[in-house]
Amino acid sequence: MKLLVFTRLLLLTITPHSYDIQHLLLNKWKLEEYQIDGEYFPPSKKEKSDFIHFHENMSFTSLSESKQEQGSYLINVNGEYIEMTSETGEKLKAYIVSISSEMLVLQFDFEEVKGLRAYYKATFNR
Amino acid sequence: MKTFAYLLIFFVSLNTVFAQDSLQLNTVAFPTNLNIHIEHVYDNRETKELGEVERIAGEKSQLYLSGGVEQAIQEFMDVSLPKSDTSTPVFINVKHLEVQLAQTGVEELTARVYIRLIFFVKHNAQEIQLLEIGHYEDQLFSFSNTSTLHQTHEQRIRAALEYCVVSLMKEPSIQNTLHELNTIERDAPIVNHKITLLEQKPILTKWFNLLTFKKSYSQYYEGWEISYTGFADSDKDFIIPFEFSYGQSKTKSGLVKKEGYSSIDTYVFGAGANGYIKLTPGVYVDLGVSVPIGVEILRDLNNKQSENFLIGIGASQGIKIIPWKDFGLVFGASVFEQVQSSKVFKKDIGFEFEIGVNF
Repeated sequence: MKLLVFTRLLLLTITPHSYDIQHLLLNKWKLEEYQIDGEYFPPSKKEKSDFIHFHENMSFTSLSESKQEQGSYLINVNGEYIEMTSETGEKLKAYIVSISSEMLVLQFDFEEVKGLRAYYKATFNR
Repeated sequence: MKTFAYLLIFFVSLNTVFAQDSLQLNTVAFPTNLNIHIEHVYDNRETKELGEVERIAGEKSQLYLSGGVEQAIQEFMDVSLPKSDTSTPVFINVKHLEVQLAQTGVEELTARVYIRLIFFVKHNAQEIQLLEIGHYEDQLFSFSNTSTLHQTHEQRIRAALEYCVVSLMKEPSIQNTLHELNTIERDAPIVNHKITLLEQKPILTKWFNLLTFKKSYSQYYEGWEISYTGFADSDKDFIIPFEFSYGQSKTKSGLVKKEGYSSIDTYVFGAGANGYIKLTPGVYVDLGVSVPIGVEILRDLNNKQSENFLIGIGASQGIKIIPWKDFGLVFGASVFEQVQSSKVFKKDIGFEFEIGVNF
């Protein structure tokens, strides 16, 4: 946990620009924890194996609460977000709060919870 | 008081007419794989301002793009789609560009940019449409975090523009058309695919805050209630408002003794739901259902106490009138019916009057 706190502090200082985001995003990101209203929560039992894998051909695969999904994604540099479109055409927008080669923080505005931040850890070393 | 009201109207009008705000569109590059450049941007919008937004509480301002829409978009595109010897000239027709801001929840604001562009190329003095795209960029803000909201309108315009160009990249037939343009003979005809991608979203609707006082009369009870109701207006959907209220009701005098009791006290928790159907602007049908659950304590004329579990079901049908949508009075009237497991008042029917303010 200490390591995670350190990474969090470090992330505040990292703000990669435009082309870097695309490069850094190409990884398999494992869910580490959530943040809602400033409070941190570990993933539930069901979410322990959750991940998002962004591929070079602009497709993604993900596991969310034991449910596997795939589709395409786009990065909007000016809007600082990723838009993931599932195979069923459902769209999910995630704001990139911060990204480094080791850590990715995404913010989601779900109907039930607004401003949920998800902290992901990179699986591959780049 | 009258003078104050006139002064208030005068200052509100001043703000509405004269407050203008110019947004400087930054030029942040985004990656593309298109070998095109934007030759010219045509501003064909019906309304030339971007929209009217409230910057500080009560102060509205008209938004414009600094340098005009044509120049601002051209400069933005030039950074990511630079002109080269081999790049294909593409033209943009701006059909719509609008900034909106509205309360969409009890503690939530939605800031939106809506853009509608047509990308086209010229071949043999003919305009070949590559893509017509309509796109929304929405962002939610909580009321506690609006300090940076105004600065982000500009960012959403950039995001919307980038989204439109990326959509151009994602369509294989557009890539084919662009490839054909570079390889085809000058006089040869070219297929016009006319791809249209228009996102349909309802217009950001007005959020109503109502503070009302209700007086109710029924066969057996008289009561009052103070309520706060918040809801996002909708022309089509069944509106489910957010509501909390506090009230009291008492048995009509004389009725208790007539039924053979010295007193009847009821303690009830009410669970229920209300919904509105908009008939015309400012006029709503108000429908409600409720399930009261509680206890009834009865004391007969010999002072003997007995308790009775109380459960019931109720329904109400009424009308709510909000004549002034920004600020003003609210009126309502409804009838209600209820059946319950009371030992004395099993069925009840009554009506309610409501008056309050919307703000």
